[in-house]
Formats: sequence, C-alpha cells, structure tokens
Amino acid sequence: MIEIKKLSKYYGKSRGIIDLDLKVEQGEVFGFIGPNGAGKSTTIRLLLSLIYPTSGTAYINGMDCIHESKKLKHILGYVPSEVNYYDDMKVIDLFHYSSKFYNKDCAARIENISGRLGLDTTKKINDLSYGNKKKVAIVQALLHEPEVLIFDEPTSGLDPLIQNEFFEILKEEKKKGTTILFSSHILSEVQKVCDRVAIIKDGKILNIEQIETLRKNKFRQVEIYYNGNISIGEYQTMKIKNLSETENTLSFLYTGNIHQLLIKLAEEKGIENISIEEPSLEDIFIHYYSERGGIK
Amino acid sequence: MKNLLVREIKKNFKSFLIWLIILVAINACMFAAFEATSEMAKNTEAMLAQYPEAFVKALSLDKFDMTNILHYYASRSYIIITLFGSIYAVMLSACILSKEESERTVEFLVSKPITRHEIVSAKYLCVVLYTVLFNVLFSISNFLFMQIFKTNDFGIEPFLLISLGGFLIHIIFASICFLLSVFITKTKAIISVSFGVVFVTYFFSILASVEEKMSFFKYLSPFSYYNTEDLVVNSTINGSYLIVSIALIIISIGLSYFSYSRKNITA
Repeated sequence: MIEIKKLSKYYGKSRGIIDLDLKVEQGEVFGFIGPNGAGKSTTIRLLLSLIYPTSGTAYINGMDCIHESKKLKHILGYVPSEVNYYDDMKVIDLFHYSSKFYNKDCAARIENISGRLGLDTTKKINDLSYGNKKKVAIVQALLHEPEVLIFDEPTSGLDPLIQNEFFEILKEEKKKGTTILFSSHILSEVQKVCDRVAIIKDGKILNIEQIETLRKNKFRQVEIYYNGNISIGEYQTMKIKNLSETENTLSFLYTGNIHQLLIKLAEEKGIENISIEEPSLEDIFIHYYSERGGIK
Repeated sequence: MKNLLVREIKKNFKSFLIWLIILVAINACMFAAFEATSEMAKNTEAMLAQYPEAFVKALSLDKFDMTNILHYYASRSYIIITLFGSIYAVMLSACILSKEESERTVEFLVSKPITRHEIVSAKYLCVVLYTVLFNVLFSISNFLFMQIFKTNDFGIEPFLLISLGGFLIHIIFASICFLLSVFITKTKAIISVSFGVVFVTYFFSILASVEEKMSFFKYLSPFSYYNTEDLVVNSTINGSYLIVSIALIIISIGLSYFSYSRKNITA
C-alpha cells in the first residue's frame, strides 16, 4: 500500500509537486498519468528517497519512505524512465550484484523473466540497445519478488511483442497481490492494466478515477458528417466538450443524456453519416484538463 | 554495504595496480642512479653547484647526505612519489562517489536496500583500503630497493616516518576531494578541481620553502606538513601538523556523510 499525504516538493522556488494526496491500495494497479513536467517523476523520486520532501509524508506498506528507506527497499522494485547501468558489467553480473543486496538467490527468477523478455544476459551492458536496457531494468526490478512495484514509463523502447509480454508479467504480479504504481503518459497502456488512475498536472492531482468509471461514464465521442445545413449553434448549448468543426464534420465529446442527443440528431436533415464512440482516455484526459485549468 | 565494497574493490583494482607498478618502476629507476650520485656526492659542493640555488633550497638538498640512500630517496624521489601518489589518491576518491551521479547509476543504487551512510562508508573504505595498500606495498618495495642499492646502512625510524608522511599526505587529499565530490558530481569538473587542489598546495609548499616572506603558505599545504627535512634529517614528525591532518580528515569525512545523506539526488 502506498500512502502519500500533503506531499510537497519545491526545487528552490520552482514547483515539483504541491500538497499531493494519494492512496494506492494493497494489490492495486494504480495509473499515474500526466504530461512531461507534471510531477510524476518527482513523486516517484520522493517515494524512493532520491530526493527529500519540502513537506508532507509518504509511506509504503506502513514504512516511512525517508526514515525506513532501507527496510522498505527490500520489498520494493523500481523501473526508472531512463535506464543507466554500469557499462563495464555483463547483464548477468548486474543481476547477481542486484540480488546480493536482497541476500536472496534469484537465479531462477532472473532466468525466467529474462527468457520471457528475450534478454541475452551474457552481453555487456555497454553493448545493449535502449530497449534491451529497459528489459534489464524490468528484470532487476522484479528479481527479488517485491511486494510493491514502481514503474516510471516502463514500456518506452520495448517493441510491441515484448510490451505484451511485459503486460502479461504485470498481470501475474497483480494476481499475486503486488501493489503497482504505473506512471506513464501513454494512456492506452494505463487503460490496459490499471484499476484506478490519477491525473496529474502542474504538480497537483486533478482527479482520481476508477478506469471502469472513466470508461462507463456517459461520455461519448460524437462525429457528425453533414452535407447540408445543420444547426451547429444548438449543439453548443448542449452538454458537450472539445467541439471542433472541420470540412463538413462536427466532432465533440458529449457528456449529457444520450436520449436527448438522439432526438436532436433525428431532427437534422443534412446529416450524411454519424459516428458515436466510446471516447479514448486521451479525450477524457483533455476533458479534465480543459475543465480544471485549461490545456497548456 | 559489503556488496558495494566488494564491487568497488574489484572495479578499482586494475587502476590501483597500474599506478603502483608505474610508481615502483620510477622509484627503481631513481635508485639505479644512486651509486653514481653517491660517488659525486663525495664532492658535495661541486654537485650542489650544478643546481640553481632556489632549487637546492626548495628541495633542501643542502641538508642531505647524498651518500645515504634514505637521504637520497628523500631528496630525489619522495616528492615525485608523493605528488603522483596524491594524484592517484584524488582520482580514486574524487570519482568513486560522483561517478554514480555523473553516469546516472545512482538511481539504481539508491533503489536497493542500502542507506546513504552505507554508500559513503563503502566508497570511502575502498579509498582508504587502496591508499593504505598502495603505501604499504610501495614502502615494502622501497625498503627492498634501499637494501639492494645501499652503500651504507640507513635508519629504520626515519624510513618509517617518511613512509607515514607520504601516506598521510595521500589520505588528506583523498578525504578532501571525496568531500568535494559530494558537491561537484561532473567527472571532468571534479577531476580538474582535485588536480587543482594537489598542484596548488604543492606550489604553496615550494613557495613556503623558497621565500621566507611566504613561509605562511606552509600551513596551507599538506606537502609542507611532512617535509623530508623533518622526517629524515631530524627524524621527527610535527605533532601539531599531525593533529591538523587528523582534524582535516575527520572533518572532510564527517561533512561527506552529513552532506551526502541530505542531498537531493537529481541525476
């Protein structure tokens, strides 16, 4: 379980995160999404005690992230967004070095995960591509079977097949009851695995939602292709967001009653085609942004 | 912590061996010229006349009996060995901690179950270990060379003092540069600064010995704390400087622990 209370971090006068409150339940896969510079990495760095908070507290499985950091890291696995390891080492040497910190024999686990990700452990780290270094990061985070996993954009650099295998591994971890904090700016991958998601912007959490709620709410992405006159002005008075009009196409995110929309559409004579879809998380994301401070 | 210490020992072994072999070889070459110098020294005045006066004064050549191999070592090799030994010591100590940040591997290290204090301890212990080993092995080789090339017997006590003096200079520089590397983490920058510290203080020691008016510079240079005249000719070690040295080492390491455990690692 991860519990963050009123956590703030300032770098001099510049903002890192402000009064962040967050609770990730035991065994939950929690998405953490936001644009670059929103404060995702700052939060993760605070959890890992790479940096210290200006104020507030953070606990993982009841252990203080600052004062019980060593004890806590026995049960923590971390995949950083940028992967840097000792160039003079072979992959397997790094894994052995990593295992020794936990006083655990992790050989079988290393072999299993490396095999699934297609990682050649006999190579020197210096000779690896970015994608392969990312695989090294994943294996070294998982090898000691941690109770809590923190991923900071883990899939960047991985090809689609390996990404799928990674998500499979993640699902297995979830089944085992591992708590996972999954930071990303790719919403579709958060959608794939997470139970809940926090949207962060400018160092503050805009909203925390169940992925299912986000999907099941009545938001619909509507596209109207018309070839005559339609009453565009009337749509603007309805519960819509992100209205855009391009070459005989009207598109918007509809947040109101779907029945009312259908009645309105039935009245239109100039409609040539229509598409009503479940919105992508991107569209919902834009909706939250525009609602709470605008898109910058 | 043991895991990190073992890793550092393995990682830094090769450079340790190279530096040791090179400095032992330089020392051997210097000793090879002892016999000829010793012959010349029978006419000391003629030999000293070959050198500029300031040079003679700077290296205290007028104080040494060049027929004694320990005095020969003290006047010819000691400063070169101590200077190069200091460069080895600062290269090791200045990079051992900062490299984790400059190469951005610190994120991996800090995510493992190890405290910041343990990181500092393992890294500094490795520096101490190699500095001690370097000085012990160098001193043994030095002793053996002296036994091989000597024409007269030399005193064991001044030999031990000069060996201790070299070690203390190395460990002072290593500790100061270790502290600096907590704040200056870019490899190029910290190496430049560390070399600067060694060479500037070496320059201070020369100034202090050449010019009476500038003798206060000796307080700023570890090279002056353990000069060959005291160690070999007078067979003493200055107690006040010893206290200053120990204080410098303790303060540097104390501040390293304090600062490193509080710093935000943003690499």
